Amino acid sequence: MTRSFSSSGRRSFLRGAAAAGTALALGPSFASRARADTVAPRLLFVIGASGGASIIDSFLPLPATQASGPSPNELIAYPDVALTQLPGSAFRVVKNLDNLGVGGSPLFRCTFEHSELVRAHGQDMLVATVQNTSVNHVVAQSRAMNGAGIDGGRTILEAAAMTHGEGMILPAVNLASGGYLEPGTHAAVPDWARAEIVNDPIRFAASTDGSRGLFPTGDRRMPRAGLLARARATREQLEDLSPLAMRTSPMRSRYLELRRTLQPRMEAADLIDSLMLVSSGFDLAAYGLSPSPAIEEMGLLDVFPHLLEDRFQAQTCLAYLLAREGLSAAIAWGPGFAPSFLADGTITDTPISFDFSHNDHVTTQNVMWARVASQVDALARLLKATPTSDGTLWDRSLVYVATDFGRDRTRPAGATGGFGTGHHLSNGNVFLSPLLRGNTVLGGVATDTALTDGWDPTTGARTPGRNDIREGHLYSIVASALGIDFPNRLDVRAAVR
Amino acid sequence: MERDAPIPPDAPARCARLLAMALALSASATGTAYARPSAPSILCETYPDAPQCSGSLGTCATCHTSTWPPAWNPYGAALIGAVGEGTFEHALPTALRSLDDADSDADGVANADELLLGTNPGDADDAWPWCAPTAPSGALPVAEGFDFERALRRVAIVYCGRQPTYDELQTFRAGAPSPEVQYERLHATVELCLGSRAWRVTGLRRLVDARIRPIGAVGADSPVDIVIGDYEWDYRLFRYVMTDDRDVRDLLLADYHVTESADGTLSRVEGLVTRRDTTGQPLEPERRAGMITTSWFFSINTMFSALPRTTAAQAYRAWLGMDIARQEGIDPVAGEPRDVDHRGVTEAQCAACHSTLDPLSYAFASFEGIRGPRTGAYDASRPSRLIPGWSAPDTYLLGEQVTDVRAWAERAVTTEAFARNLALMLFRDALGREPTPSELAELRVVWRALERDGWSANRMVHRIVDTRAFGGAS
Amino acid sequence: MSTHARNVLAVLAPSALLALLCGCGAEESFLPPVLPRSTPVELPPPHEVACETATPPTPETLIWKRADPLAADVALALSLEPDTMCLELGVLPCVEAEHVALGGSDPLGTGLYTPPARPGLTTPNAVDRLVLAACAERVDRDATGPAVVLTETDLAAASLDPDDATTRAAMEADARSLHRRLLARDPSSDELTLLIDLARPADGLTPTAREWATLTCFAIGTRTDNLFF
Repeated sequence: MTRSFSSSGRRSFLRGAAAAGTALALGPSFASRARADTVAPRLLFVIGASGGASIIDSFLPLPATQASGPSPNELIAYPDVALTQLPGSAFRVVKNLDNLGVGGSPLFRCTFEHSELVRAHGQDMLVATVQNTSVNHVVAQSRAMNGAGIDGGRTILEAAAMTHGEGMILPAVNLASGGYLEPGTHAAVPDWARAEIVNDPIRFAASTDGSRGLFPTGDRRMPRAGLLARARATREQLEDLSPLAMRTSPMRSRYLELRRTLQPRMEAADLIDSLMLVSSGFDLAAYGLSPSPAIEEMGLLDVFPHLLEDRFQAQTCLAYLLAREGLSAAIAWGPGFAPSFLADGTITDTPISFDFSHNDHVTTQNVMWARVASQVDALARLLKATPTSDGTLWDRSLVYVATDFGRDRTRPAGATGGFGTGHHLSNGNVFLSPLLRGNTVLGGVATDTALTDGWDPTTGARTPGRNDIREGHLYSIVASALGIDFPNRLDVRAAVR
Repeated sequence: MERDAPIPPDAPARCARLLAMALALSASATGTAYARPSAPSILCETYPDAPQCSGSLGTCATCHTSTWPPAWNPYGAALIGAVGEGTFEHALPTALRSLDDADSDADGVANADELLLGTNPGDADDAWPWCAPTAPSGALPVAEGFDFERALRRVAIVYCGRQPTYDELQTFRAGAPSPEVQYERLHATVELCLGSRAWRVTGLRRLVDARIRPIGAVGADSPVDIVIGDYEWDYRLFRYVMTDDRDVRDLLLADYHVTESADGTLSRVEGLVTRRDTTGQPLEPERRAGMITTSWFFSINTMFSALPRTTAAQAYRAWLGMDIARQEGIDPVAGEPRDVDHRGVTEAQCAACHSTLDPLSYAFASFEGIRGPRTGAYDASRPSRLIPGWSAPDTYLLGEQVTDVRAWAERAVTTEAFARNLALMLFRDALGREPTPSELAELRVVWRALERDGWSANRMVHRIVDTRAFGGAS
Repeated sequence: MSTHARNVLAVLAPSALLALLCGCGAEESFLPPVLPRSTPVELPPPHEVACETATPPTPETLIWKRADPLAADVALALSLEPDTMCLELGVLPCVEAEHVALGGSDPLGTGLYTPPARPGLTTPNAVDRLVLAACAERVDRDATGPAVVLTETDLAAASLDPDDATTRAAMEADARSLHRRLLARDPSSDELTLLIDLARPADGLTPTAREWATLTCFAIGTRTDNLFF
């Protein structure tokens, strides 16, 4: 078989190459300039609740009194004493079981009432049920971020950065773990919109500057700043003489562009100070550094009392600072499989996060949901307290509590704790945003199976006995609220204001 | 780049028909409905030389932008218009060949050429004008223009963990060496580096991280003393098999484990590794299958599952290079999935993958998941204990019935997929990227030489070093 | 804690700590003995796709030198220890603190099993920090003790005059040495001139000898020649 590669084909290919070149170019994206449009960028916060945060153990529980079917006492359902529903609220929620003396564990402590999240932000809160498509952690986590490929493999973080992050210093930042960290596979995503991976929120500030804080102030080893700038200029001249300059390397070109364009912006913005979470334990001043001013201004040590020990708190704090400083439009983080420990030895999470449900379902879900809810609450309160020219940061924010999948729906007959559950496709997700239809539950829980019913994406009507909602719908909810367009976006008007 | 698929005028009706065919529901013996997503394997029967069919199976992405809800790229849409009367299996080959000369995605490369080159005939952004590489013409197995010094630098950094020093480069250049001498010096360095600590410890760990998937919180060093398994057994076994010209088939066939002495020497351990805690290896040697039967492999993949689909999928993904979650390696078995554990996988959107995945998994059900010191142990009664009505359905791997996990592994190592996966693993690690379509042709030679090279990973590295991609002769 | 959970925890008892023996191999040299040669294998017959009208695009031709080999190279070049040549706030090794930015993975912590495919937005900062700190440490040691790397230049000098032949010769020798150590090649005369000129007064600043040495080392060590290969 002989075929020719036609001239039109070549044009097509060259067009593709040119597009790729454009995608690599950083100038327009990282240039320090005002946005062309006047619409303030919207902000996406994704919390990856690793391991399977079950919606029926948090914001959509089945009351035991309503459980039906052939074996109602084998369904995971909560007694009335363990549930609460605020007046006027669409959400019935599970209480902090530690405070009730039912369930709970001396090793793993529940430290937050889910209802506090509803009380403070319920009017902007949406619960939408879903039927996931994988019970493999990594696969499911990845699908929670890319809508199971509905947007050509682009993650929602990348999509939000492309739509709202152009010109920002760190358009997308990912502090999460596992599959939530996986970059998208869509070739058209420019490099600047790929998420910066940050594995340590406390240390991150240091990597935003090429030299500050390396040595104590006045240390004889440190050259003067003006001279360092000259050395960098010389370095750029040397690059032109490099043997590598003859090679075609998008990676090297990008690196040089980052160094020439973004590094000076990052350093001029003093991110090493504004993102510095360390405020005690080290003599920052001796190194010419200072804690983020927001720590004192916003009382962040009160909001995050274990900032330096609790990784989740540090992540949330950094996420807030990235948004507050206008540095990022899309940020992901969340409790991974590695727990944090406080100075007194207390463990803040269950090991392997929500997946510890395999060992102790009720305790794990209660403890870890409280962890997630407390951080969502903290973030939302901070965003609401951060004024902008036309309101607060919260007005243009969306929080998506992503998770892998749900958990099994059954328990040993009558058991109130101490049993484990496996992975299950049936679940639901929590969203918070003034851009969404608040105080709303889309879907529901079937009383005879404890599985989630679906909902009509346009009317919001519950679909009893059926759940056709997939990861692509969740992705479309976020995209619709944030004004992110893509060809296959689903019409989910029932979820959006 | 956005594209409009050229939907034929009668697309809606044909669409429905193709969907019906693609997800054709047939009645099994028990009356359960199941899907038959046979298109990838038919495509590979039609184009056996296509790279996606060489050591792999076709992917749904050749035609689909989404399998559920189903959506097609321009090539898939064109196939909708081309499928004639008759059963799907009968009509598809003719439909595929009828589109050979067309250029469905309008990227300038005909559909058949794209399939043969390894690009997607339904994606205009995926095109690669490819010229056949010239085979090495001289005595050396490297292309003209091969940059030996560049290759040396790469060998040193990738496999020795540091660049060559100035003096070492001078030694390499000493005496104005001929290409033959440079070749020998280069490969002597390869050999040296493959024996270095940087490769045997650090490099090989890096290579297998994503396949072992350790979790520090519950490993042997667990900060909360909750140890579900010790993945260091897995790392050591991998490092052992991948070094010193050992037979890489032991990645899936090893019936031994490996310990490490203080000086870094790796040694085989025969028999059971019995521990009171969860750090042992309780599986009898005769049932072992290397990396896919370690205690950690079962603990992290099977966990508490009755039918450990994740375990089989990870074995398939990690060691045969096909990720069912990405619609790769779909090879449906008639009558599957039978939904032995009542998970609803016979629904159309599930059956597309589970018709491959479930029969891939059955044999793994007899191994314990997380179960204290018994984690990973064999228990023939486990499936029937955990799955009511268990009837021990047949396990299949790539079209062949296998009796147990050991047979699964023995079948796996005979496939081209096993060798291809190994070559791609080493290529990606060395070059930090995927091979281009042009490079894939050269890489195919590498993996097809594995048996001739005595199944040695080291020899495969030597061959990768010889490629244009590595030596800068692209 | 529930009874079940207690049972599980009792079963999952503490285990022995296994020492992970990792390290960057800078211990061997590359002196070549004889080795076996690969047996040639026939290429499969190519599919005929005319290529006269188009040239295949060039794939990425370089490889990123990531955290561990970069740190190993800088440490070896400057005769320093990788774990102490750069410390954040005086305590934490930079190569650990900025491991992911430098291209490393984090399999046991965050489950980052596959490292970033390409340098991130903060990678240039992380590289600058690592190399600058190492260079400053090397110069300080050479200035205050027996010189190991910068053996020719008078590091105690308040300034260096590149137009003084003796001084220039010493500077060129040290710059060449740094170039060889960090990039494994000799500098061109143009490269050497640029480095020597760093010592000249400009913008009201005259570098001390120590500053010149540190910045010369920095300018060489952070070049893309040392980051991609």
